[in-house]
Amino acid sequence: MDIFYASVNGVLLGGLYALYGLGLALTFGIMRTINLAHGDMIVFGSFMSLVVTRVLGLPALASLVVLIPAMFLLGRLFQERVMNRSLGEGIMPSIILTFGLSVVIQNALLLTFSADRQTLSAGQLQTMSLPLTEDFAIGVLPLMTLCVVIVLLIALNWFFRHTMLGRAFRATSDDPEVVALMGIDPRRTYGLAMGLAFAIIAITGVFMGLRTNFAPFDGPARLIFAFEVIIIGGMGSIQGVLIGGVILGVAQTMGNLVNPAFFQLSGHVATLLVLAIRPSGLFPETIERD
Amino acid sequence: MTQETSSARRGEPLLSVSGLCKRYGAVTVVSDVSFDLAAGEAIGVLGPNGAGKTTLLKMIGGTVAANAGTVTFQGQDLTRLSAEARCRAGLVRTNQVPAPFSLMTVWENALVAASHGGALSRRAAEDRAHEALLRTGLLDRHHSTAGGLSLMGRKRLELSRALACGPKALLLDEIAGGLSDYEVKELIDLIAQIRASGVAIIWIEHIVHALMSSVSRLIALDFGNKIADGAPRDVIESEAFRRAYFGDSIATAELA
Repeated sequence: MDIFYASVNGVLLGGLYALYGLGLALTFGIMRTINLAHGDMIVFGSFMSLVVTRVLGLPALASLVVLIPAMFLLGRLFQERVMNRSLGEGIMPSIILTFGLSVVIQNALLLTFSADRQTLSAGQLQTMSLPLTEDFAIGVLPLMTLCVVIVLLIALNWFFRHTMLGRAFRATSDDPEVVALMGIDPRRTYGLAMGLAFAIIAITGVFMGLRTNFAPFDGPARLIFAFEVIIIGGMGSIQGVLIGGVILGVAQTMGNLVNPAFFQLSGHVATLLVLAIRPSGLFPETIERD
Repeated sequence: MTQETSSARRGEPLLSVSGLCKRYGAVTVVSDVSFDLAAGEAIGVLGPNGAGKTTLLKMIGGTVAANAGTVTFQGQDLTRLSAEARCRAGLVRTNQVPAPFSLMTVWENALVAASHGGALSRRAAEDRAHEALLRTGLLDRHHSTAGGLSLMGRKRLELSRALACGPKALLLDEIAGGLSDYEVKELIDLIAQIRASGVAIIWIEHIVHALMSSVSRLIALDFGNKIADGAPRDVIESEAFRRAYFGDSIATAELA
């Protein structure tokens, strides 16, 4: 029975990990750039939610009403003013740029909020649970996180297949030079895509902050989980993040069952196994660019 | 020079290229090329490999920035505009190597071109994409993934996307290259239909007979310079053209 409980918890944890991976999969999938500051941006999102809840007195989940549009604009500005300058020179400039940004975000957060660990509060939501059996209950918040990521994936799938802008994203991902011949400005598309990724990062930051406490230097650890999710799911595959997150989550809770010290290790081992057996991930959706 | 050129110059030209230059370091790829394209006219561009044909077309289309010269389209100076803006203005280029959005369906490829390049709303874009695929004969394959098309299929898709943008002038870069004789003939028919619908065409091609049967005027380039411009037969038989292709001795021997 322990194995069953651990799997259920692993799947639920996978929901949060899928969220971690989703923003990274979007940036890689559409722009083919790697955002090394992704984890720090999630933590930044958590801190911003903290600020909004304190200043406006809103509950953490309601802070998303402010955070999502604000982060969308920030993402768009970031891409159009900063990242677009690094285009066309391969993947390295974006890596160096976002690595630097990662250091800047961490230290800016440290200066502003100190090194104290913070939490977001959503009152009873964090302690509510649904009893499955007499001695096993699942948390409402983890279940909600999983539902949110599933809804996001369905919405994104619809958006990419059935809207003008969604098709422009896919076409630009395929070939940013050719889309210009079809009247699409790839730089503008990239700006909107980064805006979308930042909006998802805002959601991720809030759900992470509700689930665990966070501090300015937590970003890199989130980044590693995010990378593991998209390596398992398939680099740049949007739909792959769910299975990637669930596999990582279940691997961790299973490892935890054997020995609590194996919690993270077993997740890394699962990622390495996928890398060894299927280097392009389980659902490779993007194609190699020439 | 010839009737075609003089008639093109009579009214306001659709497209006017003036003094276009492109240098990469010390190498001049296109040097001071000028010509006009009248509405509905079809010009073929010939020249040996490395003559600067593709670069010229890319400068007109806006993918490559010119070092000097201007591109005027419908009386508007487009020289500083991006490729996407020129596409929306009706100046549409196809790629030398077909570059479909491989993971998208044929239908989606055409729809992207219609909705963005043609700046159309959903319903109008769907109609335009449908019409473009109908004209190129790809409609029955609209559900196929573009990456799975044959070479001819990709060329048709390249044309479909260009048509879906709603071009007034079409810049075709070696679209017949690599096709069988039969396929080339199909393509010539298709391009003739496109031209008959009032779209002006600039067509780079190595397959001379394909050009000769489709265009009313030829421009020959060599080492980035325009060496001949006029009726196809006159250009082919001109001394400058023969010298560029066959070298001095044969040209003089043949002419003698």
